[in-house]
Amino acid sequence: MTECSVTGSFPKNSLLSADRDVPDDPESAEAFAYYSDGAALVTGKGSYIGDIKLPRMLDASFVRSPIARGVIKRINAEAAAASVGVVRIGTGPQLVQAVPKALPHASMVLHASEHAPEQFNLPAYHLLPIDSVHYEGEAVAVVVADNRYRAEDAAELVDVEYEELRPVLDPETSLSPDCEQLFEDVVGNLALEGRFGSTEDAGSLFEEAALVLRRRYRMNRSGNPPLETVGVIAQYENRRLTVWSTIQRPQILRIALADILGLPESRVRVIAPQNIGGGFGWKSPMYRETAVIAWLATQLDRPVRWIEDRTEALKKGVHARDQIWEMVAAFDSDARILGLKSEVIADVGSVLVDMYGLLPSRLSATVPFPYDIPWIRTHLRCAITNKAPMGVNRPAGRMPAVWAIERLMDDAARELGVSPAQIRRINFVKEFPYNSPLGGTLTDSNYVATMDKLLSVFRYEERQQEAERLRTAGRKVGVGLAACVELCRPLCSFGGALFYNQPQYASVSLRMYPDGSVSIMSGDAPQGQMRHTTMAKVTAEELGADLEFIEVYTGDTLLSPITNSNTDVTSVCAIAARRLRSKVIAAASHLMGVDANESNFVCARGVVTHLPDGRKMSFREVAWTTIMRPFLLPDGSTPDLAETAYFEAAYAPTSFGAHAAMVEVDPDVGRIRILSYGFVGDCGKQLNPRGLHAAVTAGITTGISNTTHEAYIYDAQGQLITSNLKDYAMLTATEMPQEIIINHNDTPTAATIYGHKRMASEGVPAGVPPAIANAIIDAFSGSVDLTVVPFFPGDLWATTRDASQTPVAKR
Amino acid sequence: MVNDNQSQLVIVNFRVNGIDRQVSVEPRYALADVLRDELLLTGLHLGCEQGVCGTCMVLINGEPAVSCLTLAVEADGSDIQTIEHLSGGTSMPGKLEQSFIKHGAFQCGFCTPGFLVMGHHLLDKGLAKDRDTVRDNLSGNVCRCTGYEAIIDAIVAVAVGEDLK
Repeated sequence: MTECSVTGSFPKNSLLSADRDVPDDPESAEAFAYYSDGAALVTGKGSYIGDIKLPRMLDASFVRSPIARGVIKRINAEAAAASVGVVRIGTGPQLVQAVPKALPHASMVLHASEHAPEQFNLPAYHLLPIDSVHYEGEAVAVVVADNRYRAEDAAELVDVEYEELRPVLDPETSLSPDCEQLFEDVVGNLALEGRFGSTEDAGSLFEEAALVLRRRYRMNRSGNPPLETVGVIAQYENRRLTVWSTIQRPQILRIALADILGLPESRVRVIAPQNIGGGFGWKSPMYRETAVIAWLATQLDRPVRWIEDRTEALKKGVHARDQIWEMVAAFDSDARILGLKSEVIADVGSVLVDMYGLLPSRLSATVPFPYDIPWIRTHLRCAITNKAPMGVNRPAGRMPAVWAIERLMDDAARELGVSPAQIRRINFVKEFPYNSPLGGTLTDSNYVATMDKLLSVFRYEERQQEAERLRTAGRKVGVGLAACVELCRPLCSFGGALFYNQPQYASVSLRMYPDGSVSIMSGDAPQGQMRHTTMAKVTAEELGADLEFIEVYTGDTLLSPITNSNTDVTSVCAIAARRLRSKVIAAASHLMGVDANESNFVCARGVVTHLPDGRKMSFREVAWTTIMRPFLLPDGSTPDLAETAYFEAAYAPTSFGAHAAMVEVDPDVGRIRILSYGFVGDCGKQLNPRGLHAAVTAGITTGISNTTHEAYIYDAQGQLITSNLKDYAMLTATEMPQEIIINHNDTPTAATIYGHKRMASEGVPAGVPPAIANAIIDAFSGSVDLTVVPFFPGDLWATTRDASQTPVAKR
Repeated sequence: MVNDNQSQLVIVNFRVNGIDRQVSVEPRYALADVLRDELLLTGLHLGCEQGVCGTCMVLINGEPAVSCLTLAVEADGSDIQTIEHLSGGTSMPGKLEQSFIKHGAFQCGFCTPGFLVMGHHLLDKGLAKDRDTVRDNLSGNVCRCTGYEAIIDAIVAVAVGEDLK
């Protein structure tokens, strides 16, 4: 295998320039799935939040606003309080007595905004609103009863009187000078304004260009809510608060809850269950309901549980996408892009649950495109509206930006008379590292080769010819391309200030027991990335331990060192395991009475072998002696067979994905069929090929779902009309492409232990909408235009009908 | 506190995973809640409680049903099988379960019990020989992590007798 040099910020020592093999045998990778990633999940023994039962546990249900904007005049909870089984009712005016601090000023957000270069104006809010509501579905009161049925019954009896106000639902209206201000503390409804890109003037660049293209692209609200909703259980005993939560960032939640409730952090423990039913970023914010449930537990002397239902999940948010991109692009006659000006308006909804409410928009505006654009400026404005708050949903943030640039590239290609493949090849970044004027740096990749591999495995040219032949025969078949960069954020704190209180390092503790078995304790909370398996496998390989004797504990803040969400657990386990291996070898060499030179030892399957004489000693013998009989070791030895390691990559690796779609449209009804979908990615190095394949397929699925199925649609009164899974339609097996081709063109990064980047799968959905839209436009030979996504059969039917009535192609 | 009609209980008898059970439930209780909360069969999950996502699927008299929209009282006298029984348990997972692991047919595992229940049903009825039939029959189950293809592969593999080692 290829071993990369390591330039991470951890201490350099001889072990890190590893000369041993790392787990790269796909066959052995196939064979193993850790218990809680494998056997448990196929036998109904997974351990999710809804499966936890505590004695005397109560259930909570939230009363939610039926209107998008209004003043709370009165809350009458008398009937609810008298309802069977009700133990407690909480309202905003009551809670504010106990928790007077306003959020986000009580949580970590303020610190971030103090240190960020741009102005963050997050509206302050309380755990439950005191006097006004800002979106339909906002929690206004909470009812606690002895079971969920009774809690929900009583919640319906809470009578809230509102004075209804006209909601502001359009982000451009919200930012217009004559619009009412929706929050007292957010002037002009502007939650964030940022100017990114080239500092020097554009000069005459746009005047002298061969083509200046002005386009407006829009990506409306959709997202990637997982199948398991949010859940919380809180227990307060002996002045200690324990909170089980579906949170992706248990350590960060612990810090926030301690801050909000005024408890020392040492008394707050957060546990993310061993199994979380999908996260996709949607489970990273600290929803205000979580803090309400934690507060209730401190008051009630009984554990309190809240498992939200699907309609709550859809109405409460967080939602994603929802941006408008007005672009002016300059190209020379060789189809080279010279300059790009983008005015971006992001609708971030209301009551932003934490800093992650603004992160997606900022990422969208600043993650570099894969193209070398010499002069680029992006002006971002985030508008508050009376909709559910915005948040991170796979792929975090940049999906609308990718939609805009990839549609723009195709539109420019058509104007300039070059092919979609050509215009991309001409403009791709070719020299790495590439410092984008937007701030990010693109590293360790080869976009041209990756796209070329896609064109080859997808048989792009053949398919183009076939599509043309079918079009001649009257069918509407087309082929489209797209490309996107994935910034591997969780490996590195890029953009320092924004992550001021969001450390991006990975951490892990390993502990070897007297019998030689090892527990891995990670503060990461895997949500279905097979990360338990990865941690067990990497640790076993690097340590030379037997997989059967490794147990993985995740998501418990008491067991694990501080970390964030979805970090590079692979690298950090490798580092910790290598250090622990050194300790085992040091003890074994003493017990064998031989020189401690590590190169003389091999550790495999829980046995240390001294190569020069073939002597063997089991981990059990070494560990038992070290921990139980340390007097047999040299003076000054401690019974220490534990390791805690931290890892932060020296820079944020970037990965890349090239997309291709072949699509047929039935113009009579506007239905599309994806005949084939192709993806070639660069993930640095594949560590778990089978898991990666499923995750990439899922990314394509999410992308398609966000193109033609999933959408949060509000009516004119601000009511979410897609509030169940029939209306908020997630793609099912029957709507999948008829063929999916997945391949890889990996360039390892020097920033991680094995050269792996972020599992490239996270960014996959971003490239899908433009690939499909570009294919549809090709199916109509450029006579239709698609600038708004998601689009549904009705939209497509109307668009294509209009096109068929226009003799000349639009634009 | 008033003991109103909400707490009128009804006795329900059914056979669950081969064992005769009797529970007393409110008439409004969903079968899913009774199986999970009373009988501690937490293998089935609640993804939507709107009958769409399929993760609460069980077999009732051999036919797949969404237990979130089935009242417990409706199931009186019926024979119910859940994933705990169909899978053979952690000590002896069956062929379909092994196939799911081999094909990487799940990631977070939340939807998996529903797909497995449906998979067992399709295999029993001889409807799992080809991908298209399997695909059509999975339209009532949602998965967010795999993109379905591996699930279809895993079910078909058992039907065609693929070596699962």
